[in-house]
Amino acid sequence: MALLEVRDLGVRFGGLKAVDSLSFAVEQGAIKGLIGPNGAGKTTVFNAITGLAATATGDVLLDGASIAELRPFERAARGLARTFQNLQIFRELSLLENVMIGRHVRSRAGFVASMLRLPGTAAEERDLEARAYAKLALLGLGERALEPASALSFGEAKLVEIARALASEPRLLLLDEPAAGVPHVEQAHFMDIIRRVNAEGVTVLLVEHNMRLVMNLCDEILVLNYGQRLAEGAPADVSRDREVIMAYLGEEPVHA
Amino acid sequence: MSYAPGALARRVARDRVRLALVWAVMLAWPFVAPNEYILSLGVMFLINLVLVASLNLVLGYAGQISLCHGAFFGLGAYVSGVLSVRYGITPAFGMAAAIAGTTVAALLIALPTLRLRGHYLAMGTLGFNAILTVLFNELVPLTGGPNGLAGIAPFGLFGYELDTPRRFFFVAWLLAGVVMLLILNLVAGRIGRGLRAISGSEIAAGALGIDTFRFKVAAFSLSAGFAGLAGAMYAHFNMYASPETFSFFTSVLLVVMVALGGWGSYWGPVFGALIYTAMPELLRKFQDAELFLFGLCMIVVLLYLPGGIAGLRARRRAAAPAAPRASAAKEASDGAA
Amino acid sequence: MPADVLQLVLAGLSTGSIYALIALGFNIIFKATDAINFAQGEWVMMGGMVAAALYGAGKMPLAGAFIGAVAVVAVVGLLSERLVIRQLAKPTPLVVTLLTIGIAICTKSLVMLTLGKNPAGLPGFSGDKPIAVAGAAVQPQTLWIIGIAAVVMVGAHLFFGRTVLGKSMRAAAAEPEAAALVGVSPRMAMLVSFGIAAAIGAIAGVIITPLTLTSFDHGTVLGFKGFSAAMLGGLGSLPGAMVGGLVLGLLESLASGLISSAFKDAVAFVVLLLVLFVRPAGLIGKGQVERV
Repeated sequence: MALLEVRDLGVRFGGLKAVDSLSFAVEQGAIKGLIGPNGAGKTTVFNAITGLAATATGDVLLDGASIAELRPFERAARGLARTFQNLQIFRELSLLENVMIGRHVRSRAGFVASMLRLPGTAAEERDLEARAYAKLALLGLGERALEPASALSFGEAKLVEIARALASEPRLLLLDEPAAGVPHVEQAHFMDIIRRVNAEGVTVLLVEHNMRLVMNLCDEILVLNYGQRLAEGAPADVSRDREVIMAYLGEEPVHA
Repeated sequence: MSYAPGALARRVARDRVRLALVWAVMLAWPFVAPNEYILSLGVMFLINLVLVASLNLVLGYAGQISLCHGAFFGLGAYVSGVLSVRYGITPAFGMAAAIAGTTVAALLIALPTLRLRGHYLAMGTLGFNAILTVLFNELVPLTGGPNGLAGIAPFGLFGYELDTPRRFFFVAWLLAGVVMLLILNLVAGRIGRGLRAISGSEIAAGALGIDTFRFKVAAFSLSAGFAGLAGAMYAHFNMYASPETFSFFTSVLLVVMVALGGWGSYWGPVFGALIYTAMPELLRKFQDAELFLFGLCMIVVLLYLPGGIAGLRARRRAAAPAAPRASAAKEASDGAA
Repeated sequence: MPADVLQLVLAGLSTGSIYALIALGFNIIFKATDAINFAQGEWVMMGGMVAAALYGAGKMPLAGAFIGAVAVVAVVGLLSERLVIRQLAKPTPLVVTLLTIGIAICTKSLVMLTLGKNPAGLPGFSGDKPIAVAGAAVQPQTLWIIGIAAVVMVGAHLFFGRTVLGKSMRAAAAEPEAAALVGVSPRMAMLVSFGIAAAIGAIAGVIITPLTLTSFDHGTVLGFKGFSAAMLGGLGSLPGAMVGGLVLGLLESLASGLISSAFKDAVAFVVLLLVLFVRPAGLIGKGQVERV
């Protein structure tokens, strides 16, 4: 059963077709990779799925229901979470608070309830803090929970974004170049985390340039080029696909 | 700074204790103030604190530029004042009406305006302030026009009139205390984080499930309601209100006070309100040069104290350990400006 | 056109020309800093006040007072940039805007301290006797205002569009790093922007003074209306300043003459709000409008 289905997606920027009649699906419980040369439209696809591409046409279905008319915050409430390629971390807040905000859709206290400290709000706060810390610890940043996010390196901030996205306990997690900037030694740990999260039932769609990571992690890969599907299938098949190789390297493969 | 479970909750608890202590100490003011005039400055400080703290919610926490806070202040003063002078309504009800009235007005203003960003938002709010000022001036039968509205009844408690600074101080102390507590509860929890998320990155906030528009409208209206409360307090304390007090210059000044105190900081408004109350007194001896000196101080603080006064403490604390931390903290306080 | 309506139209065109000049000043600074220059109105006021002082006290001829005032205010503008704005490590638009508020306060109070609180005036450039234009009695100064404003607007257009300095300033405003790489100094461009905006403001102040008198607190409302005009035309658009200014001036004059003069001041603000909600980019502007 497909958790995410994209049907005939199109995104234009002025005269440019960034994404052109793209259709694909992500099975429940899978880890799917989205790869392609620079400018292939991968982040645009993410933006369309999460509701940040104003000019998108076509349909996006989550669990069989169309979410194309929903605004980003409504899609988050349906179980969608994402990280950003260029980081949209809350620099002024601490790591812990960043992740706690990630849990916004799983908490309830509104303006009045917060101000008046109605019963349940204090307990909810403690619970929020504990769970957010657990996610940070999962990504190895627990010790630095109270530091301002502005003190982090690029790679560390990426990890915090992942913790933040995980905090909402999403059904579908969209990771936009999550390993970029993460030091080589940490990448095995990082893959481990994704596998663990996936084992707990989170479906993952990730954009990555790091081929080793993609080949090792993903059950299935979709290759984009010029906003269109170039190839789709198991990692082994895709990596041998002639067209894919040509798209990346620009020339015929030397060996078969 | 290593983490122990429950650290954030403990920080909030510490702030609560601080608030209680500060408020307890403040109770001594009427007995400590050397004369009635200085005592009344204490009342004005409390009113100004409500003003600056509520503006901080919108400007400092949500990161939205509002330049009509002075008008909400005035609207509250006039609603309660007019009800008192023209219709004989008791101040308590007048105050409730003032809060309700400003909140509703803010909601109406917010719905079109908060879709805008940056300059456009700022100028939209400034425009509203200017329009309200014109109304305060021109609706003479109601507001008394440029000469102001006189004869506003003082607050009364079971027939006992609270018409002196000494008596009104306790009302102001109580009301301001409640406001500060409500604000603390708000910013220390989920909503406060949500507001700061919006000012940090509206895109990310939306992607995380925050209805940014509703949040901004709610914060804006709430903040206006508090300003309306401050206005009613002002009207029944001074028993007089005039349009000059609520001009866009006041709105601009309030924004500066939030900046001076340290925006986005819970305690910043205390410093901001202190400066706002004390400065005219301190500068008065310079008479005509008062305005010039104020402008100069404003420039100096904006140039050299980007985190405001509250930011000083944060910078000193962070500057102590190793170099990378210090530069990060400076970045954080620069970013706060 | 009946004579009284013609009179309203001409009055509207002349106040509109003033608004256009003020809007031009706003736009120049906006393009250079992305900030709203709250000091613009004070520079206008200062132009009139200094000219009145030079003319009255120093027995200078009117033309000399005009040029002297513009020079003085231009220097004030340059100093504002050099001493204040330049000191900012990170010139974000909000902080620059707040700084211009401080500059405005200082400028206004300086004028009050040095030139006093009393209103000051200037004689009309070609006398004060009304002349007849198609049956309407018109102050000659009105025509001077429209004429001089037109010359300044054309001059600004030529400067920014045709001269090397003007074009390099636009380049520096649009892409400071790229401009620096080709030898244009963004700091210099910023400095010159402030000087020019102040000079234009001063010109507006001098030419309006014969009609309306001026005093130290005259600038704030004028500045605000000029800003409304800039928004109406499109913030950052130089032709927009002209269109916005004239339209606003006409609207104000017609509303005041045909409806009621009590709410005259409100016209500018209502216009501002309408612009913001209906078409924030203004009549002509193509500026990016951040909507959520």
